[in-house]
Amino acid sequence: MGRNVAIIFALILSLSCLIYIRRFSVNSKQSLLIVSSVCINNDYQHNVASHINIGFSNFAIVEAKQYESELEEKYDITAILIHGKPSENMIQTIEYLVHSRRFKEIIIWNNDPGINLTKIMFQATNNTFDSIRIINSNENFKNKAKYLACSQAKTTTCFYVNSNCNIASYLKTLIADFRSDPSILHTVIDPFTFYTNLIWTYFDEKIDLHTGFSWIGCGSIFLREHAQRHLQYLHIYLKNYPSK
Amino acid sequence: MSQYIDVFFPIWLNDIPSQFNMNIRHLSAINTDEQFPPFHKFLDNIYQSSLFAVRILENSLRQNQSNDSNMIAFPRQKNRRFPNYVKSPNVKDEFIFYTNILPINSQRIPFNISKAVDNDLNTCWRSRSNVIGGDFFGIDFLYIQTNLTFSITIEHTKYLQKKLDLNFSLDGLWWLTYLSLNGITEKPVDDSTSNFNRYTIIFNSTEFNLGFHSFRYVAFNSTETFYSGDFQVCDVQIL
Repeated sequence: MGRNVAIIFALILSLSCLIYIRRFSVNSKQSLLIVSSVCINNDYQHNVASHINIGFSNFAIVEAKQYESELEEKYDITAILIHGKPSENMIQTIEYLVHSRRFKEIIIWNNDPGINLTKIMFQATNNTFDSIRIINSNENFKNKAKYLACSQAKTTTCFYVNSNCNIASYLKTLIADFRSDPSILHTVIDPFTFYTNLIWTYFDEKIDLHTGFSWIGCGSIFLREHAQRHLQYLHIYLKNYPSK
Repeated sequence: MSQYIDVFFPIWLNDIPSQFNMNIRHLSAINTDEQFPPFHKFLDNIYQSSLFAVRILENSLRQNQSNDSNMIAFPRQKNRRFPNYVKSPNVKDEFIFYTNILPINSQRIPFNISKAVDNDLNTCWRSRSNVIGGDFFGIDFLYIQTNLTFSITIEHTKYLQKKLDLNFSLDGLWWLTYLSLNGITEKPVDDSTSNFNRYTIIFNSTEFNLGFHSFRYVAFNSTETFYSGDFQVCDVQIL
């Protein structure tokens, strides 16, 4: 009798429990099988789920943290500033970039061949700006200067900002966001401009066209190889156009 | 042409840029031409120069010039890890709030996602007027954190909230659904001027089930389509 009751109970339990398998795939090389059980019967759901809702294993967490450290090491960043007209904003921005300790180096590209910049111009009394490198250009390259500066960076990645934007409120998040998806351009834009940027997106699946637009002036992060490639594109496609 | 070099750069990457969507503060009232041209020329300049850039890109892709060893090919493959999300950091630069829902709806009114994380309970982000199954809003806490406690203040209905899956991730791509109620508490917003539908949900991961104490991303995914419901998030805080 007791055995029959146990069998009936087991049958009821198996009928009211749903076992499903979830398969998550990042790509074909990374698939992991996780089993989670949920009872259809809502009376059981909370109690059963709280006991057997399986989370991340310690191994998965350690591995993910290791991957985060590797990304941080691989995508070290050089800050790029273009010096045209001297300004207080420039000094303020440089001080912030140095003290943030988020950049391997800060390149100040002087676009004015009539001025010779030196580090001492940016040194505050108690600070040494060892991480600053100044490049005095023999020509005013205008907007091309930032890509020239980035192509000379010692890191794989460049951060560019013009000196008028207050980056203090988003620098940490921008860098973290970049490292989570390093192959694309990361920018900062105001809501109205974001909406208008959406209008200038172009797609054509047949020819792998999937491009869009954003301003890069108020803090942008991109790979040095992309800056170098852009210089090559400019040389090929704009060589017949005047530089001014 | 030099002034349009910055227009060509994002377009010739042939992959839509990731953009923080926020109210940008400036160090001074002066806007340099390098950043944003005068507004009356803004749209026309961008439109003309973007067309020029896209025509070059399209022509190159169409002619399959990657076969020509003398040309530098434009990239064809999308190398991005994530789709094009709408995102905004919070004002304290601690985390990123993001969603898959683009700011286009039938009324053509752009929404402002930064209102969810501007530290102001009285401003809320609203998505389009109908939420489709699979739509989500989420938070990226920048790196894997352990025993984090955070809250979201929402104004969409409790019925809609209950239909959202709560998912956690270490890398933003592989997700696990949290099925328990452990560590999750609700409280009404204590503000006489607030909408009575507004309430705060507190997530205390120290009380989560084992295996859910550490995560980097959290997402609230809609499990069904709501033809007259939209997401409304007013505040997100790390506690």
